[in-house]
Amino acid sequence: MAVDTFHYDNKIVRNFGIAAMTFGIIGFLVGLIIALKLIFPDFLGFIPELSYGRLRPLHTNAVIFAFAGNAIFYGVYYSLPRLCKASMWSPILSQIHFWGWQLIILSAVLTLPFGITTSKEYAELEWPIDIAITIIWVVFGVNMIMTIMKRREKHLYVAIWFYLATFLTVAVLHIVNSFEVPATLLKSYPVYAGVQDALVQWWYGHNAVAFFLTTPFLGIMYYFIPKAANRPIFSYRLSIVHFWSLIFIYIWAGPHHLLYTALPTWAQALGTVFSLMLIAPSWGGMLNGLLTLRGAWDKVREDPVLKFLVVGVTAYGMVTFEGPMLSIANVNAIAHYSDYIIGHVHNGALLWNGGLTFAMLYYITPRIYKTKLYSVKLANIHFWFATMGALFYVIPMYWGGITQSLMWKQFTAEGFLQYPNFLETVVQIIPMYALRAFGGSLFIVGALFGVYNIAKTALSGSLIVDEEAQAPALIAETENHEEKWHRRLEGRPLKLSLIVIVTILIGGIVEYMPTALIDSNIPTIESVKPYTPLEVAGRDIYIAEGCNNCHSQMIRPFRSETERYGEYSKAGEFVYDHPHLWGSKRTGPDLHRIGNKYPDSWHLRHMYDPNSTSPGSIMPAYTWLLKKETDVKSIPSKINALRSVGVPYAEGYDAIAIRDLKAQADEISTGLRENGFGEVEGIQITSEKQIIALIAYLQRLGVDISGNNNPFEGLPSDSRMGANVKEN
Amino acid sequence: MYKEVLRTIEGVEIFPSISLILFFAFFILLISYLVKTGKHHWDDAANLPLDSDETINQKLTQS
Repeated sequence: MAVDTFHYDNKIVRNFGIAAMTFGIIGFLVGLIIALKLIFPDFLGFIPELSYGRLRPLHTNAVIFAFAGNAIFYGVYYSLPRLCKASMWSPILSQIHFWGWQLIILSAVLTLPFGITTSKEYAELEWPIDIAITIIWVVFGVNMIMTIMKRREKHLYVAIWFYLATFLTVAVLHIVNSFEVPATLLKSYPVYAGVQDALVQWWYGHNAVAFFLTTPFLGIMYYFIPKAANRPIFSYRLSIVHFWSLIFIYIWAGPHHLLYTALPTWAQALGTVFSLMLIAPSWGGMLNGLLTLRGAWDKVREDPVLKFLVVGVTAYGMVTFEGPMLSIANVNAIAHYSDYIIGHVHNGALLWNGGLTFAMLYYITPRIYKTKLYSVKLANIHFWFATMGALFYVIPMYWGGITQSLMWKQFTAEGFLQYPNFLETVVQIIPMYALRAFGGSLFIVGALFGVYNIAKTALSGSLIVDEEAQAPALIAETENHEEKWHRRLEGRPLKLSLIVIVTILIGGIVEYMPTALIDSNIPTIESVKPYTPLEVAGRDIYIAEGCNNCHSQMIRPFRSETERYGEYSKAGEFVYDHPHLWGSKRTGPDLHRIGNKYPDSWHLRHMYDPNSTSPGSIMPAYTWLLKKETDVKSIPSKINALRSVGVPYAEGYDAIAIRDLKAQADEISTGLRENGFGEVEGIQITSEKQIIALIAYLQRLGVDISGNNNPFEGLPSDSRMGANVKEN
Repeated sequence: MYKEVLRTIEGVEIFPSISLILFFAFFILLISYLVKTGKHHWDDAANLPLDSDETINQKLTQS
């Protein structure tokens, strides 16, 4: 039989490894910075680009897409050619993929801290970058699928199915969630509004966790645990059941991020039921990984690779138990919006994604450099720093999250809120924030040991750039005609891919279709009107500053919330919200009914120095809002973009919108001046300032429902019949 | 309000039920098939990551 000789490209593997480590450290450090900002709000001063709201998306994007993303490619580019017994199909596409991905990360660094963001969680990057992500993702997929097509091993190992499902599903998620209409080069509005936008966002957000942080890492688990333990996976049959049930069920679970919100209850219930069902495949996979080590546990004591794998898979088990529990409505009622969720995700991110990534680094580096690990002892020290760091991170977050949530809900015997001042509940858990920062620091120190160890290992060997391998050419298919159906399927990548797509689309479509129709079905609330141009500008400032990272705009129908914030939020109130700004975390109070609650001057003072109105507040000061001017020039194109996504601005309103904006801004600044706030510590509060637009937006929040408020009343366009908003 | 949304979408409640039944059927079929094929049927597939040049050479000499 003819034997082919071919080469594995280890250089691309190494490059992705270096990128994962570099961006990992950066992402962790940004995380530490924002953790410190919650303890010391004036840490690093009040520099716009380094403010909490702008850095938090940078942290999540860096860790998810730069650290875990590069780690996924590191694992795929190492294991896929070896499982296919073939070189990667195109070294050029590998290069384009690598550099393209790093450029996307760079563009995130160059946009997010500068307030260029869509505000949609884990999809914050603006539309030109969205397009770049699509192109690079397709490059990755083509290279992967063509490698599979050119393979010399007929059977596709289970890890490859997970890689395929990752590529296909992330492509679908990214494209559907990124339907947006550009207003300017770096600003767009999603085609979805309010409830619909929230549902699509969390269908995406949840499945980004599923198909970016779970399935590729499961593929990695199925390859590297057998490799490191030198024994086959515990049950290959279980892995088949695991794969199909996981990808089918996962896609349905998104609505559990929106329990008790204005999302239709049937969608919420569907999300809960499927989340509970998800325990079965998740735990099937976890046990499959752990049981592979039966009879090899002695190795776990010595081998840092196995240690990281075991703790990683165990953390996966904990997180995938916790997730379904958090989806039960009355558990969710307590945990949602609190730091519990931050603990939950870090359990997964630090130990599961982080653990598997470092396991790969420790496994692959000595092999591609044909050398030994520089120091097993140091790797073990790293392991303990990582594990203890994660514990010190996660436990205080659980503790603090539950404590704060219970305080929010506590009533006195007389029936009043026990802690009516939100700040009281924040101050209570600051020691937990401090412990979390300590845990995070431990994790980072451990990671630095890891990077040092990997670097020393690499320096002690030399990279085998093109690793030679041999395998017989693929046997012609006719020789295996008697194979049964699933076995046959596993030798046919395109059919397998097709079934994967059908499987993931079922859940997606069933959830998405009815909500796509909601727009025309929800009885619109008559008094809810589109935003005025100044409010649009203010809303964009709210988005740019990332206010939604700490403040929700979704009051759940609980007495503890309606007492604290006011009337609970209705679906019909968000029909003009492109995008929705419901948020997912309350580091500060909900803002949906903040409109008309305080005078304009209160907001001015609060933004300039939060402590002047709320002593002890950990909110950063936004002094620059009093100095920078609102971007007025882009208003016409923003009005046009919003009209094209369905906001009923009248034809031609874009031409007179600026006049409306200026009139409304003048009114607010005049009001402030008359009340003695014409200047704050020498800063003139003129109508062009950003703070004016932000105040206009905040004062508008949640007021429409109270009656026939016409936001355009008194503005120049109002004197001309139908000049601003079309009547329905 | 939500009920009204449901009512206006003809037969919305049947969608999830159909897909769930389909998947359940697929799932049962899959499990019965896996039970029928037996554990050792999959041994070669499970050993794929462990294939090294040596095992390939062994396979070659056997064939």
